[in-house]
Amino acid sequence: MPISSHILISRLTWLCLCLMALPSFSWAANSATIDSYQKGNALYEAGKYQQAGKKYLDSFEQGLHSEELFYNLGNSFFKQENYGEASLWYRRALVLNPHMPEPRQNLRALKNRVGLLEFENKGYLKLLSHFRDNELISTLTLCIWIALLSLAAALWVNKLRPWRALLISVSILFALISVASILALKRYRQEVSPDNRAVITSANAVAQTAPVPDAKTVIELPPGSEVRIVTDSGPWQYIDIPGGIRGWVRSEALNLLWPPQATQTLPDKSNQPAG
Amino acid sequence: MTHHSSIDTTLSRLIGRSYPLVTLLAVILFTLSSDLAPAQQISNATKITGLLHGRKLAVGEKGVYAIQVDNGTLDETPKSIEAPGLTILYQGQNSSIKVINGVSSSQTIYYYRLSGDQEGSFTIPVVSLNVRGKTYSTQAATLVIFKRKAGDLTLDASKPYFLRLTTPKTSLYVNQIVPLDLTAFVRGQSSIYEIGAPNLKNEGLVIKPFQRNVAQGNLVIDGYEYSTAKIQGSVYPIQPGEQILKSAELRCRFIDRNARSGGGLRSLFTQTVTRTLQSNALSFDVKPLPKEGKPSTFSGAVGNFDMEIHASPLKLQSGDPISIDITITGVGNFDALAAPTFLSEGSSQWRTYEARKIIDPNEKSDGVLSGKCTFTQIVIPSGDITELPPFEISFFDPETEQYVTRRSQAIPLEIAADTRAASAVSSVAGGHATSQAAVASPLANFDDILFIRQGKPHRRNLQANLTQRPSFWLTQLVPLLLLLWILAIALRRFIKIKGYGTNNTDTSLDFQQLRQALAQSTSTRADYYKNISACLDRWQQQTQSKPKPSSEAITAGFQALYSRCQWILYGAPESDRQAAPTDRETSEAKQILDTLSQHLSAS
Repeated sequence: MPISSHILISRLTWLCLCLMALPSFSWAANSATIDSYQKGNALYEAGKYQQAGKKYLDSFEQGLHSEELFYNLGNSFFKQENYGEASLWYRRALVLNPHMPEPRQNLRALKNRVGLLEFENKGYLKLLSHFRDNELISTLTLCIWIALLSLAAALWVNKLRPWRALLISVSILFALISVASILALKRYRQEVSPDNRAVITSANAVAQTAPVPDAKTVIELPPGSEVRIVTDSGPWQYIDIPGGIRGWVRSEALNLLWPPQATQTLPDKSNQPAG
Repeated sequence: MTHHSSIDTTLSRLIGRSYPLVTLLAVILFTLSSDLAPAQQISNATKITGLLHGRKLAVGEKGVYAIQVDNGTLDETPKSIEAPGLTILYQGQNSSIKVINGVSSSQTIYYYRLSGDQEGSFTIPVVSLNVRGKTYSTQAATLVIFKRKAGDLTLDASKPYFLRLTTPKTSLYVNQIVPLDLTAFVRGQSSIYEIGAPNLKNEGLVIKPFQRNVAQGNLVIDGYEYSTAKIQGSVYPIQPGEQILKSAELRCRFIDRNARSGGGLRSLFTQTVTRTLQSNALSFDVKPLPKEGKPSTFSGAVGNFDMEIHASPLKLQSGDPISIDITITGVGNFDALAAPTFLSEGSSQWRTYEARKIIDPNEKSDGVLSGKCTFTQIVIPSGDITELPPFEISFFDPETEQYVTRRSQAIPLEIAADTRAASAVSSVAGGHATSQAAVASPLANFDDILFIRQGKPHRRNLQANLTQRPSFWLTQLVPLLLLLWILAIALRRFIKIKGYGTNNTDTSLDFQQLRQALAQSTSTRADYYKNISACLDRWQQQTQSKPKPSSEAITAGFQALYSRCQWILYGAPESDRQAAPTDRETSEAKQILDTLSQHLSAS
């Protein structure tokens, strides 16, 4: 017995909803991680910032990934005057939730204190910085499918022939949005994406003109400064520095922004001191 | 003259007197190239001169000493010249011959490399040399050897052209602005034709754009006249410690008097060359601003400034805006100058807006000349106010090395009650006018961080890339299946049409037979129109080789019936397709088929 079209559509819609609900099953709360987090909060309130930081890191290693945790962790590092790590965790909190105001405000306080360097996103890059990579991919995918399905429906579904012009217009519109999304995604990955960004965590880091210890200094990099990695060459990283400057910095002087790791993220490939 | 006359005679003989123009050209060519020809007549006056390029030389640097021999060559060239405190070593020689008015003269210059290792004044002694067996002597010369310090800007007369980067002060505070001059020196009067934009590399320093106007002049350095072209800018450090301003580059077009013109016609025209000159580097010792005595309103300004305030209107209603122009004049870094602080005691009575800063481009301070900057700010008073509170500006004066605070006078205001607000309030509150406290916009303070976030944290999925998640690709199956379903429908229809057409081609029945069989198949509309469609196709095949119907009614009838077939077979709802054809439909179809049959029979 043949299945009519509206029955097929309704079945496919249900399938889609079920698939979209799949990840939510993995979001079940884990009470152990929450306990460590709450203990960390209590220790912070008591002024025991180092111990609070350890509890937060425990919570992170147990699998809690939350902007509140990252932000609190940044605060505990700030109170220990580890401004590089504080900046790193504030920025990670902003990656998880770009709309969170607290880490942004604390970064300004940090900037006032240590004069850290930051990339300034202007124009539409500023707009893009409020999105995440996955949101752009979702938008792009949705637009491509709408464009394709509208075109297919306009060409081959006889029942929709009266709306053929409308469907083709929709298809063209979404195709254009798709192209714009591809360009935006490309620019996002180059300039805004956290994947190739890093934060200076060493207190005495400097950017040098060459990947050798006795090369001349390009600029001093205050802790917490934001940089972009251009080339990873083992013990040295070739980086983009805010202000259109480039230079070489020792790998152990910085930590990758993303994905977050509790330990120093870049492998120690040399025993020489930072900077 | 004898020389030229004899050549003229020879040329005339060669080319004949009937070609005076050719003769003239030959004479001109010979005159232009005469200085390259071997000397026919050499002057006998032999002379030896010692030439010192510049009177000062830095320790360790190389200078040039030359011995010029006119009308002769040395019988023996000394490989070195003995001079106490100096090293003078032979480098090479250069000879030339000139013919002026038929008189030839030769010149040979012997070059020596000169250097000194100790500071002091040294003498190059008289040197006696033999030319054609006769002894000649040079004159003695004095040379000062000095020690060049890092960043020493002593002008170097040993070079035909050079570039100098100068500043009056190299020990600075953070944000202290000082002038920066870039001067090109080229030997000779009015030698510089054009200079380009300078290229400077800096670390921890902010270089203000250089002025477009070029100050040109002349200067004598160690007896040599130089043309100068100076452009002026300014610089200020932003980080404490030793800051290096690397050597600047400047593209410059000038007359290179050292370059050989090549003689002949080329020597009649001025030859210019374009070179990229490289300057010295500058080292700044940058001190941090003192922490002691720093006023609360200090925002990084360094210099010495005066403040003048103009506000208008001074008679207004509560809620009306007051425009305040704050003019700052003085010497210092206007870039680092923030808007003066508005000292409103009851901030709730004032609504303030961010001040707009305008630096007068014609009055920029370079640390020596005075500059001017204007802040325009709008404030809105509300409530019981009698005066505009003072503004305060704090800066660090690098001359006195102290922080200075300037505060304006309070300006009396006459503010009447806002009748608009009062009437609005009275209409709501039953005729009782009350004053409303405006919402102030206080300045944010970012001295400390916010407290931690408490409460339950939001869990986030850390899987960074959506495309790595299986659920993403599973979700893509839904629209993909939908697309495939549409494609399948389209494919099915295509096959159906293709198959139907093939069956009709194979049929052995002709149009008339199909038309007669039509009356027997009237079960459903789909079957009926399927047969009609076959009938029409057959008619089309049979009339292909025959003349086209002359009547438009036949063509129109055929098209109408064919379109109806297409609609019923491929576009109509299933319920319509399964219904029986109506009498009207069958009669109309029959009428059109009869007309087609008649046309077929007639043709």
